[in-house]
Amino acid sequence: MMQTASIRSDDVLEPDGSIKLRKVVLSGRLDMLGMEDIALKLTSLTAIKPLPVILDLRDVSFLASIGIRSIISSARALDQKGGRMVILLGGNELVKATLESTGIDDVIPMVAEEDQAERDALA
Amino acid sequence: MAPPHPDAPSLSVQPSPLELRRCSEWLTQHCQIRAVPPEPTGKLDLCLNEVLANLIDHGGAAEFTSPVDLTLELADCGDRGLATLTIVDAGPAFDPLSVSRGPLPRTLAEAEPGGLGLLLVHRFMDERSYQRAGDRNVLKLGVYFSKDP
Repeated sequence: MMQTASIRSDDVLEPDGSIKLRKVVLSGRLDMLGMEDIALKLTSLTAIKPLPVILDLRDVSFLASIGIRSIISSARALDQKGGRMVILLGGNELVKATLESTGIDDVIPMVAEEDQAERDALA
Repeated sequence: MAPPHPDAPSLSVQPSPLELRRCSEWLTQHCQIRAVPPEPTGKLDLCLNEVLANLIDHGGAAEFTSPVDLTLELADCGDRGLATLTIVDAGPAFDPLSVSRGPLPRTLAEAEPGGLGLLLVHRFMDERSYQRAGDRNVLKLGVYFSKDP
């Protein structure tokens, strides 16, 4: 049985309780069925408030174009609100090659290490 | 364009979102049996998913009444192998390889969400061919891989 898609988030807070940084972790298979499960939540977590967002794709096993479209739409909406998205890949070579093939690496920063992702998101 | 070998593994499916994963399972299982490494298997799997998703999104009524036939063939090319997937459908004549796309985006505002699937097919597949055979579209996608472990 193929791994299904999932999404979860973790907010890093400022001392006053406001959100400093949002980490959104996707995992599993982001194909047509997988995106049906998570697309709305991805939008609500990444595209509503002007936040620095790390989109963690380290545990994504399969990224289809429907998943890339959703990421582009969220990143664009976030950008228009004044937020910023950074993609965290770790050593996920197939997903990295997929994003590079579509030129997304030129418009959304992609990094391998979590520390770098935090620095870039907060820059 | 030669027809697939009769002994090559094949699968006949209805093009629907629910069948996409069955197609992927079939492909990855047969690639694994034939020692195709994970990276080219993943690329072939992604391109199969994109072609089928395109059929589901843009195909005519025939797409939903006629099955799509898949065949996987392996060829020995010296120090490399070639995994070729043949995808046959009964939809309106459409050559997905003829679709051109503009330059890659330079800014987020320029990034077009559409057309990415066929772009992936162009970028990931080493061999690509299309033929209209009677009332069917015949698309062949191939990826080379090293036979060294």
